[in-house]
Amino acid sequence: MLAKPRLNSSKEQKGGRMSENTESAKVKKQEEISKSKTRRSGKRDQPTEASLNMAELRELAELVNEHGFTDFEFENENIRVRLSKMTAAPVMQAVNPISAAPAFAAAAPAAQTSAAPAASDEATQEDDLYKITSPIVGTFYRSPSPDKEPYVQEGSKVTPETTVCIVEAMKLMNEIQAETTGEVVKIYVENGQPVEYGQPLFGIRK
Amino acid sequence: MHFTILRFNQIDSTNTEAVNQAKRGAEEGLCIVARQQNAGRGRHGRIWVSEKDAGLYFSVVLRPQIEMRFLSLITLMTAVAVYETVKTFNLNPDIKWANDVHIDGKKISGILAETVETHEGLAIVVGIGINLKPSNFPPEIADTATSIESETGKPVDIEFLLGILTANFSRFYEILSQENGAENIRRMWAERSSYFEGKEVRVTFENETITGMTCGIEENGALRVKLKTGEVRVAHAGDVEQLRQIQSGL
Repeated sequence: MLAKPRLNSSKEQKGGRMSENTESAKVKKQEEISKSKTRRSGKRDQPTEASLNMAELRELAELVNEHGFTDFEFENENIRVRLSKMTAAPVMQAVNPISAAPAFAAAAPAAQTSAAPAASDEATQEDDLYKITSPIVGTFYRSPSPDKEPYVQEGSKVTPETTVCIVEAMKLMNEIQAETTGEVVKIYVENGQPVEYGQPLFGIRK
Repeated sequence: MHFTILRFNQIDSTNTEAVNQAKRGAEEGLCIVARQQNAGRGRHGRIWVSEKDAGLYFSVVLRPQIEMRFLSLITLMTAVAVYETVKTFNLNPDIKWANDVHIDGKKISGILAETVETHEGLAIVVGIGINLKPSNFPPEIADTATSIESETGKPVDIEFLLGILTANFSRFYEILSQENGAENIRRMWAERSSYFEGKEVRVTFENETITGMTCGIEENGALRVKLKTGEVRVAHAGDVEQLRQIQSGL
């Protein structure tokens, strides 16, 4: 599903801050996109641009649309952008929320929209979530049996002993416990889907 | 491996009791055996029919010291132990992936394992059901189930069966726990299962059904199925049915 972005050849290898000139910002954004092929690397020391304005998002959506993707995802150390026709809503989140806000404010005051700070807040929250991961390779089940209610829903409160799901491998049923106290705010995997070792299953807001 | 056996005339589920015992600190080798289960469980909330004295209803607590990625091989290892136990009665069993034991395509034993977080660390409860008498299953599943008595024509001494089962369980569990144990158990399973390769199967997952030819197992025991397109899919869960036997050309 992860579409490898190939939007433009990179003429300039310096990832810059967002320019006040929209056209220039767009080009730089494309360069930034074309440069990055890595997933989240854990580097958090680059205070580069960490948000997009609405015009840029629109441009990006059009570009993705032109190439016929139903899903587009881009991520580097600072930003993650996902465009999906399924949800019809661009989701944006900063991977580096600490440096993201000042960078945005300083670099593109003119381009700031009302949507951006909200997205940034959401991103901050997402990044702060405690992730419950799968301890083994197997199949993910949200309920003890198909006719039973899921162990937890979005909004459920959990304690460390709360069972949140089962991962089945060769009829070994692994009951996964939350191991933290908080609220389930994200469920990353659909019922019945295969999961890998270490794959995030739930996001918990502590 | 040392076994301590707790016996019940009647119980909800031997697995549930073993899980509770493990949480209370039961040591490895604690076994729960019941003459009857009121809520015997199968995979994914299914019922394991458990009439009085018509089956062996057995669960054991393990505290394995094996790598996490090989943990699921415990259920394949258990199938090997049950296979050898059933074979003692001069029967010719087969292991249907992952761990059902069959006689001529009919299920004689089922296994269900679950992990338990305890203060002493991760424990595993392995539940084994072996059909002893035909009365243990309703007519609607008679075509797909069998029992030791149905196959041999003789009643089974449950204590004799329990003795053989625990001896086999201990033997193969020790093999799994030793160096190269995972590899050895995979090989032993492969030698005893016609599902290991060349079997045309249908696999029903939660949201999808595939058909293809089995082509070995992964290091954790997952079944590899080659589709007609050449793509190889890996099943960790799901119901596997045989479509037809493929002649091996011996």
